[in-house]
Amino acid sequence: MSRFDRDTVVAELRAEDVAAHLGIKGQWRGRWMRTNRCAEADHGSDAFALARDGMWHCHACDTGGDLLSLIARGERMDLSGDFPRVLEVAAAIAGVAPDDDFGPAPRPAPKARPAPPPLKPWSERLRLATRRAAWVWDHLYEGEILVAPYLRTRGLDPAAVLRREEIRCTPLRGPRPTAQDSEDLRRLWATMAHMAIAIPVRDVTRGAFTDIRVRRMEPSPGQPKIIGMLGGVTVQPETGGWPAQLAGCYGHPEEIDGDSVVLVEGAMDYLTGLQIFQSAQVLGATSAGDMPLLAAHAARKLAARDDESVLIIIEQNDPPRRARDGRALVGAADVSVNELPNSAAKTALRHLGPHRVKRILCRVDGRDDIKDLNDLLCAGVDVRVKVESFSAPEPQDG
Amino acid sequence: MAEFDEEDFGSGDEPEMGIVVPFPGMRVNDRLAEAWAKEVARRNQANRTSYIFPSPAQIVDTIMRKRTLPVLGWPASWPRLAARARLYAGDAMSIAGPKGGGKTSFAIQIARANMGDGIPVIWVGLDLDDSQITVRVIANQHGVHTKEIREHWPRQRIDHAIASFADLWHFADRHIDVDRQIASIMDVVSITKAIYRRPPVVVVDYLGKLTALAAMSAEVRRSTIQVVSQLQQLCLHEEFFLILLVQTSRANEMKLVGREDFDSATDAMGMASDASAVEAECRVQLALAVFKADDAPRLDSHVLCSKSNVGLEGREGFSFAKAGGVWGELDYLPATPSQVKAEADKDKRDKHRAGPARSPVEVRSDINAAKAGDAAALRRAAILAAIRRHGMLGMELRAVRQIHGAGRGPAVVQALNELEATQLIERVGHNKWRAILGQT
Repeated sequence: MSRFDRDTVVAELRAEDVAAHLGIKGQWRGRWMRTNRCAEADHGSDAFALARDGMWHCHACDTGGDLLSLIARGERMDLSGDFPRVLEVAAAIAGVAPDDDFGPAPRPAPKARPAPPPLKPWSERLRLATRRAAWVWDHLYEGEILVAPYLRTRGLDPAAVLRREEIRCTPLRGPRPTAQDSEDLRRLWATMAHMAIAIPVRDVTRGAFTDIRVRRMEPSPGQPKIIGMLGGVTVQPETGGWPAQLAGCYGHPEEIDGDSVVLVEGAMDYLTGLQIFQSAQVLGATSAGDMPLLAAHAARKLAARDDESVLIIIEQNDPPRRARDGRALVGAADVSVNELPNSAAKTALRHLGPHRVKRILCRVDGRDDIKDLNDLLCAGVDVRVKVESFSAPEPQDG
Repeated sequence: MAEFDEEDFGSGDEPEMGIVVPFPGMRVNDRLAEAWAKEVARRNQANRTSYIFPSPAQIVDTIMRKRTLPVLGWPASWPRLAARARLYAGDAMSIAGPKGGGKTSFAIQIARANMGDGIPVIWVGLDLDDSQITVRVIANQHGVHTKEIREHWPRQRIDHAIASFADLWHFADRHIDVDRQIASIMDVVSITKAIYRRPPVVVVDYLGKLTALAAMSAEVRRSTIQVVSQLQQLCLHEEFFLILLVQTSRANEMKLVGREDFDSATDAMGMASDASAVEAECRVQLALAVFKADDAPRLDSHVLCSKSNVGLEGREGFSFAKAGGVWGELDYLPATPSQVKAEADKDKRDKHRAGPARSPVEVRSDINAAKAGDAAALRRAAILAAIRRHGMLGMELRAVRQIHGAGRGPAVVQALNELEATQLIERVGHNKWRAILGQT
């Protein structure tokens, strides 16, 4: 068997090529691709997420890792047991020649997989997600005593947070499912088996739960902090000529009725926002990719509400990164707030104009460790003084 | 696990509801349809034609496909006008108004709302050039005079302002030849659909310039009909939103500056100088009546919906801020100049008045205050009626906001507080109200 240098192969391997080889198709949004097909199975919602830097996670199977582990899963191999073979396949995908040869192996043919089953109609998916979320919520543990210690470790005041949002805990209550139970239930049980806090995601029209996001209290390295409920929905995908729409987020998107509305990204920043902005309405996007849709939804509602209320967008400090192959990658938060054609800042400005849109950038000069709102709070920064408005008009001559 | 099986999430198919009753088995006669198709095919073959002559039954798929296309977005702060004028992809709308009547600003605000929803905009600027329009978009977004941007804003600030809309906004090239102009619109629409995968909003600013290219003055009417018809066909075929800005005829300008009153908005039909062609081809016709006044930074206005595809012709009150040309919807119809003049004349004739006669500005302000008060009373009545209909379970604030005529944001809360203070309704829980029995 030919010898390959692991680091060379990993450096040359691109997420797009691996996805194409494994028959995983989906639309890239910024640095993420989300789709309903993972390396092993097809799911009822976009449970599989692959980043351009090679990290991936399947929320339905609760598996994840790097590109080599993705190839191993797709090829039904054991990453540690069959490592040389996995590396060989990876080298062929990347077009890397073995150390004892002078030309790369021919690129392997993409894996033949049947077309994924069509997704159910949107209304049906939303209905199922709502039913499922209600069921999951009923089977979670309640009680401040379970949640409070974790919130304190994140610098939060449990009383202040729990006054404004209901938080429950995993694992699910009740007997463990057996082989006779449905596949759905067994998977759901497995993904929610960790000790974690659960935060509801509410639907934008009625406020019903459409997803339950579970945040691991102690994620191991490389493991995603957040797992979503199997079949949960947060975005209504674009259909025909309709752009994608927000389906659900943290907070109460169904009733936007505040003089100031604060938009944050992620579960922990949402809980932090609830504590910091006591008199404002706080809404949280479940991922960076949802931030523009959340901004569009909130801006539209605020524009309909009155002519004075303001929208504050919390921008995470997400500096440019360098990929393993040397390419410069813009941070996901920067892309979603500033760069996309319908980014959060752009949509908010189009709907509300500059005088009603403000920003807080989660950055403190000389502190590279501060990246989000929770970091700012823990660092003892008074967040409210960091609100940036559009600068006043230039002084006129005469 | 029995509990989960009862809540079977997704494996079971829902039985289809019988939504068409009675005679759910009624259907199109297949044999007749086959005979029709056969006869059409026979004649096509004999005459070397390719007619289709479809029946409505063959068009259901098209209806369902069109449902997947977006509708024109209106600024969220204009809910009353949005209810009157609903525009679907493939529909055309005209906005008529006198020179300097705010047509371009009105269209810019509609364009901004659509870009906020992710819908691209194509601006066919035949009157002002691209730089003038760009400055006006920035001015409208920031609520400042164009003069400030043109003379004082540094490049960095202009760059930053443009970044918020440049991704979704493109100008169509200008051509002297009308056929080339229409061909360029067709091209830019195709490119837009290929890139954005959704129908754009196309604004022609303004129609008179396009038709003037087509012919000498003696043939303007015929060329207008041809150009509007071509544009409408293009809009229908390519399924985009077409907004035509048109100027009023000189004879009708008096009506749209409020010097002459008329009974209903439909009396504004035919006001455009390109009237007959525009009326025939546009699904929605709006006319902007701005009541000009010397040195006023903000003007009262009426937006007349003289033809509506949802049948809600009528007029809405607006205010027009000169700084940035920003239009804002009001929940009452502000006084027209003729109403102000009549009231001021009445004041002057009043021999029993104790003080000097009110100035026209004061008269306008008083009439508008009275109308705003009436609007608030109507809002309270609409909210109270709806809460009463909901009965003892009460009505949530979210539902109250959906009531037609309930008004926007703080006005709703104020109306609820006033109704609560007069003990007509009571608060149930945090954000819920119900009517108090026995109170009228």
